[in-house]
Amino acid sequence: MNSLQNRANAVMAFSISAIFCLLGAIALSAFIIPTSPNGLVAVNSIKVVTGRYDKTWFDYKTRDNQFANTVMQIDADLSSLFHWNTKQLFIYAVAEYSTPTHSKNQIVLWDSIIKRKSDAVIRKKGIKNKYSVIDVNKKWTDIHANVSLHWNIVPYVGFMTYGHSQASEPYAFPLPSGIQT
Amino acid sequence: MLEYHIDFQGQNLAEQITQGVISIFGVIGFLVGIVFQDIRLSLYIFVAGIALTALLVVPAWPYLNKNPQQWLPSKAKAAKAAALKEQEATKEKIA
Amino acid sequence: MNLRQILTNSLNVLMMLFGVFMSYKAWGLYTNCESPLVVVLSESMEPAFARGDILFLSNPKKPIEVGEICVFKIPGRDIPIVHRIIHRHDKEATNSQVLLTKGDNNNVDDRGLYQELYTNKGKMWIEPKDVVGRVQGFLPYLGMFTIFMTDYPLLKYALLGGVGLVVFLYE
Repeated sequence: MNSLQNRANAVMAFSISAIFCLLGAIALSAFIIPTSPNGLVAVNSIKVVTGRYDKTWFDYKTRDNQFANTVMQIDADLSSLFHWNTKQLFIYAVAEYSTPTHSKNQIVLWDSIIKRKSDAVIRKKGIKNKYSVIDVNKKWTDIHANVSLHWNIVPYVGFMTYGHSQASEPYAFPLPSGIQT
Repeated sequence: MLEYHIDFQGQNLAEQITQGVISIFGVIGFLVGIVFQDIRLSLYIFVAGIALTALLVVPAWPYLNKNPQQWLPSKAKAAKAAALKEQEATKEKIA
Repeated sequence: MNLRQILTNSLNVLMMLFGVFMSYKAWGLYTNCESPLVVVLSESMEPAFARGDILFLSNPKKPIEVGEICVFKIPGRDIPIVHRIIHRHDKEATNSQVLLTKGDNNNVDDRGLYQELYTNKGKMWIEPKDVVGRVQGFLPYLGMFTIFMTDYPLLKYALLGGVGLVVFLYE
């Protein structure tokens, strides 16, 4: 601490150590802030169509892929998840089911990014699936899927945290009602 | 280079001020941030703490130079002074 | 400054570098991840991750869930990609999983990316073996440092030169 550079250097070095401590404390504080999120997803209609393409799906070979078109409604209040270390919420509706070949399947039907606390109360009807709803076996036969609302808190600094609402009653994904392309 | 020296006790004080002020502003920043739920507020307070610390200790303020070390005269200088005295004494003798 | 002094300084610096490297490797062992720190290079995960943010990765044993953000490598491509899982299908019998990913800021899923190389034609899914790590933590901006260093190699040499000077001139 004798010369000018020594002192400037010492202030800088200690500031760097201190800011990491502060950021660490901010990151850990997210675990002790109480939250009370709640959410519900309900599927209002399911329609299965057969074809080669859907909005986010391409398969170079076959024409007999079965896509499910769903319409959902979401009621959720996630505003308590917005605390001082929440940069954004990523929310997504997930269908979960099992098939004879695959024991656990999860498909994101719809997602959204929420950047403000005031937008975290969601009352939406008539939400169509944003992504192709197609199984890995490309068939929807005798499948019962439940849906739930998931969220991922993206922090300003610190840990990625996840949560989800209770799953709905299983919905039956029926046989295709008609052939469409 | 720029060398604005401060004395030993000043160095000790500067070290304590650096650690004390930055730590206190960090803690205050954290508490204010968590109360007002605003992460930017925390960082602003912390940066203000750093600026204040830099202002307090980086320049060689007089308060860091209150106890200057009384060094012994260097041997070479002492010898020279002694020689000079002797010379003058001999001169006086001759006169 | 004599030879002895220079050698002592060099040894000290080497010890510091090896210490950092060993800590990084130990952390990699703990997280079960070869490179537990990555810097975001693209804008495909905006606004969650911007260019220059640092991600902390790990590879826990539990299966990968939908909605998790993964860093993965497509066979034949060197640069890893950070995207979110939107489909997962588990086969319990063989303990295997197939996954589909999408960047939050992209309009379509990553099948186009998977099949970009003609050797990957028909690749519809990625698998856990393609996944380098799963994002657990986030630190903003600091990775800009490494981006600047790769964008402006001169800066890297200046920095190395500076460190070298300190090594040899420090008494």
